[in-house]
Amino acid sequence: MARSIRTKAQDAELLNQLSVGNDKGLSVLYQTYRVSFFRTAVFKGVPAADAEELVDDVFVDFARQWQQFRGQNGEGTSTSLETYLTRILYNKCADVFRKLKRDSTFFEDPVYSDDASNNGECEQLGVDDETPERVVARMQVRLKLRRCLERLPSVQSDAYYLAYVEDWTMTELSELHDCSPNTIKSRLRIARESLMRCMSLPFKKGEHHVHE
Amino acid sequence: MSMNSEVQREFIELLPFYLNGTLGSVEKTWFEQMLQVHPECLVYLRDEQVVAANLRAAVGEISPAVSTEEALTRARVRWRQALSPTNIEAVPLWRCWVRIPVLTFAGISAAALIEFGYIALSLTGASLAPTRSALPDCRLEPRVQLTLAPSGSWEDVLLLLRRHGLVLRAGPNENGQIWLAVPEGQTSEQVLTSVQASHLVQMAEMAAPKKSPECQP
Repeated sequence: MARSIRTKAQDAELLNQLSVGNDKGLSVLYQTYRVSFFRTAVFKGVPAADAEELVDDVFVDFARQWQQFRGQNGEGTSTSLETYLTRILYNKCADVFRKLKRDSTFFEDPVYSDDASNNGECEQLGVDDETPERVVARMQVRLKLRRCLERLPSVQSDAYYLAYVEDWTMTELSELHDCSPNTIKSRLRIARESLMRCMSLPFKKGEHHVHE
Repeated sequence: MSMNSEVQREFIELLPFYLNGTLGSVEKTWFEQMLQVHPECLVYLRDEQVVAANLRAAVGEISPAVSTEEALTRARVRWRQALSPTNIEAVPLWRCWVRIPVLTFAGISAAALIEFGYIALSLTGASLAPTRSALPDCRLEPRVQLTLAPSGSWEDVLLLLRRHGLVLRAGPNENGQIWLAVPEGQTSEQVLTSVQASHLVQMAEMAAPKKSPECQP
């Protein structure tokens, strides 16, 4: 999952192409971010079935309002295109949650269900040198991690996700969340402490174990 | 050498960015020095590496059902619509007209034709027979005036009027005068000749024509 970092020059070139109705640059952008955005949406709790369309909508929205992005950058806010698109993505996720009238249900999604883990993950992890016990133990750790992340406030879990999975810098995170780098650092620290505390606790009654 | 809480805090706050490789060179140098000097920092780092690896692995399992190439083809159709300069402000005027439903046009045209036709008929003075037939005939009707003989009874007078098809329009007054409408198909002279022969009528003469009582305001 190596992150593709776009330069300002690439972003400017894309905007020039869009200004003459050329969507070639947009195709490149789509190919670069589609999977990563899909994962982010699912991670945030959007059902996998809706997440693909949601990601497509992000790019359609950008195709409609790319002038707005250029306008913002012209006024001195040098937001990167990736940050801008991620903001659209987050807003769309929030719309989905509002529509569904619920909070993030990361673990209810079929992608993350125990059945899905049992069917898909076992095969994927069942390499020769691993014993079934190790595979099960690892699956339990991941499941626990997912559950603990779900309990964090969204500002913390979003920052944690983007820092650890998408390799975002401190500056990019502060741009996205519109706060200072120090706030981001403290959010991540608090998220880490909560996560470690949660991970150290045993599974509570009612929580799913992989082989219950 | 033990870590003070401020340093520990700073170390933990920089951990995510050290792990994702986005730490600046100065901070990275400081971070690596801390790792060498404080063995407990290594524990933090290892814990964090385990969590990060598990998180990446969990997220890595998620992938869209449709391939990017297939999705791209579908998405491009939508972008072209979004990027197209033909939005509602830029639609030519003739296209707006085409968008108006044909039925609306037909309705407006029919109403206009009826209105113009009615105005034209009124201006030319042509008879609107169907309209007028519903109203009473308000032309002036010829009338005759009779002076009744004092010896005659009112019943005999009514019998006389019925026999000649005459319609009583006014009277009798204190002088014994009545006014009669001349029926259609007869002239005033014919009526006068026929009634003068009766002994009930003392005098018969023509009266000024008037509108029927239905046409009186």
